Amino acid sequence: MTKLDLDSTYDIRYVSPDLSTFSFISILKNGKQVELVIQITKHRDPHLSGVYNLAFGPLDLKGEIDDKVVLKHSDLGKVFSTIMLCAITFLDNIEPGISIGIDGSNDVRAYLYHRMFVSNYKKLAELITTVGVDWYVRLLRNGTDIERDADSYPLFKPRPEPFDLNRASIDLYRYYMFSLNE
Amino acid sequence: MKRTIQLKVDRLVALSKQSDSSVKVVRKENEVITDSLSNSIRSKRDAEVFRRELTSAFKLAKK
Repeated sequence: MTKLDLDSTYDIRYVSPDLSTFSFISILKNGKQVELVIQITKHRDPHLSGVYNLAFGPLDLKGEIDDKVVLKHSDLGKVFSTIMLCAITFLDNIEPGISIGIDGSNDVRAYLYHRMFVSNYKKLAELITTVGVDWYVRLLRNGTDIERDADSYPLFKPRPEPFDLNRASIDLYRYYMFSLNE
Repeated sequence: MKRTIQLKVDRLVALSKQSDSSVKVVRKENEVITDSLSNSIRSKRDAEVFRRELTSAFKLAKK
C-alpha cells in the first residue's frame, strides 16, 4: 500500500518562479539516487481553462521528462507525498477553482495512481476532491454501430465522474483529476 | 489545510521567489500536451462539454 504523509516529503531542490516546475531526489531500492522533475502545464485548449496536466519523472537525454520509465523507489509513499505537496502548492497559489490531471499513460502508472487515491482517500479528502475520467463511445441509434471519426476509428470521448472507491483495480480510470477543497 | 502542510507550502512559495527565471530545468517545455485527455478532445464543443461535465463531477464529489 502506498501510504501518503505530506508531513514526510523529500526536500525540494528547485521550484520555478511560477510554481510549475519542481525537482527532488528520490532514493531507489538499489541505493542509487535519481532526480525527479515535476512539471505542471496548462492544457492547450482555450476552452479547458483552469485544467492543468501534471507530469513527473527523470529527465531523459534530450532534457525532457520521461514519464514512461519504471523506477523502483525505496519509498514510493514519500515520492507521491512530495508530488502531492507540489501539486497542492500550485493549486493553492495560482487561482481558485483550477484542477490538475494525471495521465494513467500505461497500466502500471494507472494502477499506481488508482491505488494511491483509494488507499489515501480519507486523508486526501481533507485537502482535495478527486475525479476519475473514463473514455466512452456512443452507440448509434441503429444499435449495431458506434460513433466514428472521419477515418472510421471509434470516437472516444472523456467522461468525468466522482472517484468511485468501490471500483475494482482492474477497472482503472484513464485520467485522474483533483482540485483543492475550498 | 493543516498548519504543518501550510508551512511547507509557504516555504516552497518562498523558495520559488528566489529562483532564477532564466533557468530551464526541463529543456523542452511541453507547450503542446499530448496526454490522453488532450488527444480525446478534438473540438471546441468537446472541450465545452467536458468542462461542464467536469464541473458537475467535482460538485457531486464534494457533496
